Amino acid sequence: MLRTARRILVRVLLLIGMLAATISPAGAEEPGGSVNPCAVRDICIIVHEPGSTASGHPGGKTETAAAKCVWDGVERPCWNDQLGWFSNSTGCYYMLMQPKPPADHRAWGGRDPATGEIYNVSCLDSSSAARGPQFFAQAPAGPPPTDNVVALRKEALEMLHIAPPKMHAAPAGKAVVGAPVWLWYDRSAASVGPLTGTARGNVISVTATAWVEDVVWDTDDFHTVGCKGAGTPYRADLGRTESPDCEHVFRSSSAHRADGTLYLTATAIWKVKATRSDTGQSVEFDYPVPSATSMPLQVAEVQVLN
Amino acid sequence: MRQRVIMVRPGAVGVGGLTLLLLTACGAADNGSATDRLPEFTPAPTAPAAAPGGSAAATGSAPTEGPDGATGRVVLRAYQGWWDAQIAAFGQPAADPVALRGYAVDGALSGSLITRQQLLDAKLVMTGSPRNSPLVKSIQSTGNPPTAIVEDCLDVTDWHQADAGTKAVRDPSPRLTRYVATATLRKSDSRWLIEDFKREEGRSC
Repeated sequence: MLRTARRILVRVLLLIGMLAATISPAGAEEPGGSVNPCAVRDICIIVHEPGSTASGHPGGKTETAAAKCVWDGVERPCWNDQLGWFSNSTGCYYMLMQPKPPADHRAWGGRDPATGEIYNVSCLDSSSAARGPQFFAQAPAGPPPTDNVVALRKEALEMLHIAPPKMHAAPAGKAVVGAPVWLWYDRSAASVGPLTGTARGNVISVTATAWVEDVVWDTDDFHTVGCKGAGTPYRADLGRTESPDCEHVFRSSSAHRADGTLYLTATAIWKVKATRSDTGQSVEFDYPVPSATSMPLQVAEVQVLN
Repeated sequence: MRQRVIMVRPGAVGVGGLTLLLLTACGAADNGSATDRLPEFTPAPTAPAAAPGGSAAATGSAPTEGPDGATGRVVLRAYQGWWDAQIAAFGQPAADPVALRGYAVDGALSGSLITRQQLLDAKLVMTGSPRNSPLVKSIQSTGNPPTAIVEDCLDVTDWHQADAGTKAVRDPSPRLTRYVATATLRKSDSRWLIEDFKREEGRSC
């Protein structure tokens, strides 16, 4: 009985499978006849058909010099600041990764970095498996034009050498339930800003300015504490006072936690402003920089001494 | 193919229940709510309100306490930050997607950027937002670079493609609702960057 029921179910499944297979994977007919394209793959059903993947070997270097770049009958610029050079034959963009990824990057697949280049590949064909960093012995596309604003921004940001927060707490190492714990990290230009760096192309340059906007402390007791800056270092002569700008009160002991200890982290939320020299246009974005390690802190119940 | 074999112990449910389970599993992509009954995946709250320790071993995930637990919460914050940046970028694809580069590299970055480009090309924007339930599966702190795996139960039911001008919903059909996705992150200096993102559209959660 159960076996028969299962057999029927298998047939139902097969039928549904066949019906589903007739549905266009990338778009849907609307009553009016127009098609909603699949723009965001996170919400689309994509059928990966064997053989439909882009080969990863586009026509060659000369192709990027083609007068026209066309996909799905629509002309598009051959160079895209974000994605790189477009290839008509694969429908993919190729961005040379500069500087070369280190030799142990998986895209090299054990090859000698002297034998080729790594390109970050982005394909318009949603069924394409070709995506991400790939090795090419022969250039599939030219190098990015100099003065690519996206590359200059990255270079300028790297020049800032932002330092992760080095955390402190007072009392250090051992806190008491209900008593304020001061939280701060080492203050320097590299850890709070403002920092400025300029990357120069042939004609334009990009200047990045960065400063810490907020600091989020994860206190490992299912709470986070938001502070406006690096916090105030505690000094012994301050006695039992409260921090003017960054502290936390623990409500329970850490005795029941792994090794009886909490592990705190702090993340500095930097604001970066990148301005290009030619138009003066700027973009601003958040750039969170967490502490490199965590800070152990034990929290004990209050001991009443007689 | 999006169909997949759902293993159900014959003794566990009656024939009627079995039918329902198999059918809803098959239609998972079209009906997210019906997949709720499949107890395959227990979503964990996002950082920092991680579940109290103890449940980690049961779900095969990384520790939520100790130094690794603290690292895990930093990893989850990076992952959620990337999603927030994506939601913002896809909501306004005409704006410069610069913030994405602070969170993602390699294939994950190219995936986000091509999506933003395709929204622009199709004159679409994303409205609403997806819901994430990420969980750190593993952390290799001693690797060079250190790496981490995050498993997410991604619910995209309330996240829609819409006309950039009229904001009328223009979803593809059929469309996904809820599925498992896996992200790989690597540590660069003190920052965790999403380098790969794999959707397992057939795996409901």
